[in-house]
Amino acid sequence: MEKISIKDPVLLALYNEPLGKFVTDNNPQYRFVSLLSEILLAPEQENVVEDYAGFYHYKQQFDESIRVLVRSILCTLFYIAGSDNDKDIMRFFDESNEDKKMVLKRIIRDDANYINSKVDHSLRILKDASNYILTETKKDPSFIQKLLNKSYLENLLSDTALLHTRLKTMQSFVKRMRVIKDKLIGISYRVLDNTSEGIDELNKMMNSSAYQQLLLLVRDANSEGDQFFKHFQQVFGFFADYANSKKAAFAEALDNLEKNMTNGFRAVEVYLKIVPKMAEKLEDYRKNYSHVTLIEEGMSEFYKGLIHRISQIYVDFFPSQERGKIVYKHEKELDELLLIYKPMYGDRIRGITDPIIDNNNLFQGNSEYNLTRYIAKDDKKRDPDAIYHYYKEILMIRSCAKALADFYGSLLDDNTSFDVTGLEDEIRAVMKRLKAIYNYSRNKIAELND
Amino acid sequence: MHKKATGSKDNVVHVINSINISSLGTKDLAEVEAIIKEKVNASIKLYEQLKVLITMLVKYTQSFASRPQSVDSLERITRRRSVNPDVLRTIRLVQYILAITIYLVKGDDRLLKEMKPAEVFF
Repeated sequence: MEKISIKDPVLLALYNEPLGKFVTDNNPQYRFVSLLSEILLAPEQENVVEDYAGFYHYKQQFDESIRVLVRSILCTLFYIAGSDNDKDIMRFFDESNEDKKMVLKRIIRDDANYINSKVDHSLRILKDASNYILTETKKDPSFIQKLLNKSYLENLLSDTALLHTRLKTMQSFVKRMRVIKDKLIGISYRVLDNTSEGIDELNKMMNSSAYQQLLLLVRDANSEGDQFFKHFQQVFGFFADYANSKKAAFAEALDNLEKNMTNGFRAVEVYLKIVPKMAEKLEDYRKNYSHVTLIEEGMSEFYKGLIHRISQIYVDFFPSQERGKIVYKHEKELDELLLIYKPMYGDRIRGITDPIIDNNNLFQGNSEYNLTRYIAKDDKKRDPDAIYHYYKEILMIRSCAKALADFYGSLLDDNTSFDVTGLEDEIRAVMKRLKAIYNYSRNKIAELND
Repeated sequence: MHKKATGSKDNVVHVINSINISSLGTKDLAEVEAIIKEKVNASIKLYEQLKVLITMLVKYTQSFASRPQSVDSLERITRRRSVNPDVLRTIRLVQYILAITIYLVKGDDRLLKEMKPAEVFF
């Protein structure tokens, strides 16, 4: 699609060069008060004598519509303390109101829509009046409708492209949100699977009474004790390596998890913020181009087909919004989860590890099984305290992985699942329709220009 | 500056008023089309510009939401060295809207034409 451009040079300058000097800056002619007095103190209307009664009628209507339009513009832009109509703005110029302050108002969407409707009304009268002239002078009036069609199509074209761009941006957010479903659960289960096997082995061994009996031998410096300790070192050496390797992998997985999760939550947050605006934009689009007053009476096939397509520019955001709200609530749970990863702070970790450690209280410094005396100082890996530490880490990694899996399991159960596939399909379909409208309008404009 | 306002009721002139229907009857179709096309086209463009401007203001006037600014103080802001771009845009958009409105009610496009920016803007 083509990029939207502001064709009007003045508007472009106003828009692009906010801080550069502009022709109106410091020019007293363009002070609001001067401009307003120009509008309000317009010269008396010339009385043109017309032979055509009907034309006089249109003129009156048109004058009235312009008055309403000017009034609505002034009331939308300005406010005079204590009143809210254009007469008071006029009275501002009267010395009796000198002490009152004139204020620039905040303009809301409804104001803009109101003015737009007045503009449409004026244009329709303009069209009727022009048609009347042409009929009275026995000329073919069809070109007036052509002009209006063209302006309708040109506006439709640029608004369609704009809406398409906005939906495209939204599509990228939706894509990012999908991460929550696709990636995260996989990571947490993978960590859990990888740690389970080693832990089960280790626990089995640590809990066996025969093994604990054998440990008693280790403290005696005899040949049986030395033999067993060698065996013991081998077994724990394996778990020490295992814990080390899993620790690195787990830390990496957790980092990825945190990053993806944060991105996912951020995407949901942004999505929830932009959805109401997007829904409003879609509604405005449908409203603006389906209820225009400028279109032909009785509606030609041209408009009927087009308006039918425009009415289909609709995305049901409600279900995804509701799901998004539920998912978004889990952001706090993520913080909690990251705390769990730091074992010193995680009650859930301690709840799991402490009983196991208490049951296997073999290697503490004051224990009779303390084997430190057998270990060479430079062989830290074989240090029973270090082995004990590795054992704890394996347990922590496992319980972290379990907590993560539980967390995502609950996140993705039936009530809270965040499936964006439906939404993606809907957005894609609407974008396709917009593209069709865009191409159709562009071709029609080319036809009208011929 | 303060003059007696006569009210807008009788002051509206417009494109329709400038069409002299009696004289059109004697012209041929091409001429009539050209006259009406020019006038109608010009009006459509102006009206559409008004729509765009008002819609743009919805965004920029948000900066006045918390504390409405008096017109005098707003205009003083433009003379400052560092100006909030939204405020500046708002002022210029309002000036543009008023210049268009003057053209609509008086048929006087002098101010509108003067607003055409210098080359430096492009």
